Amino acid sequence: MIIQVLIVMLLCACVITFVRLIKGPTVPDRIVAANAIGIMFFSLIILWTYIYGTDIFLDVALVYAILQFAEVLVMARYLGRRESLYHE
Amino acid sequence: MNNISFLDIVRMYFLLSGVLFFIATSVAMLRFTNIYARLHAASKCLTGGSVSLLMAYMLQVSDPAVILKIILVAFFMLLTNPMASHALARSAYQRGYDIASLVRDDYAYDRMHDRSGEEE
Repeated sequence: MIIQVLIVMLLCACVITFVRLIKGPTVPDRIVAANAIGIMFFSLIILWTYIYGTDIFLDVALVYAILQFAEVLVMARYLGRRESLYHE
Repeated sequence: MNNISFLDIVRMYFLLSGVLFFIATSVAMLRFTNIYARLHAASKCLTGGSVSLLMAYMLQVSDPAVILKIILVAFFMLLTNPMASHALARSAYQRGYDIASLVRDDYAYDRMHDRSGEEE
């Protein structure tokens, strides 16, 4: 019973973070909000293991975390400047 | 009331603290003013929340292989989440987003005193 309440609270946190994803003034704001929503869904998958009672969702969560980390690194690499920081 | 063990109380504490970390993250996303403050909140609270939920799940299962897998996932979260936040903050600084709102700028200090540390 308390797991369902926690899932609803986590979904409310996702919705509040989604507001920042919609109205973020700059591109890194949107990337940070998307990263936060991704980790919240990662935790949602971990909470689902309580309901369904299997450990198979843990592998799904691990692959999801790896893909999301690669995605954030690629977007940060795309966003940053190509040449060095100190010689402008 | 009848048989609530000590382990259940610890597990419930980790579950509640993990979800409260996520709610704190969402409030910080909504209320903080610049990108670096939001990155600070996201880096700390998201790591703490996900590791808390993983530890709550680790206290429930009894299979050693599953416990090892949970420790692996928690270590991975502890390793990668600050790394992603650091890469994002660095690229946001290079592009010059919200530079005017910085209180202290050590990159500019190093650049002014020519202590870049990158020999070319």
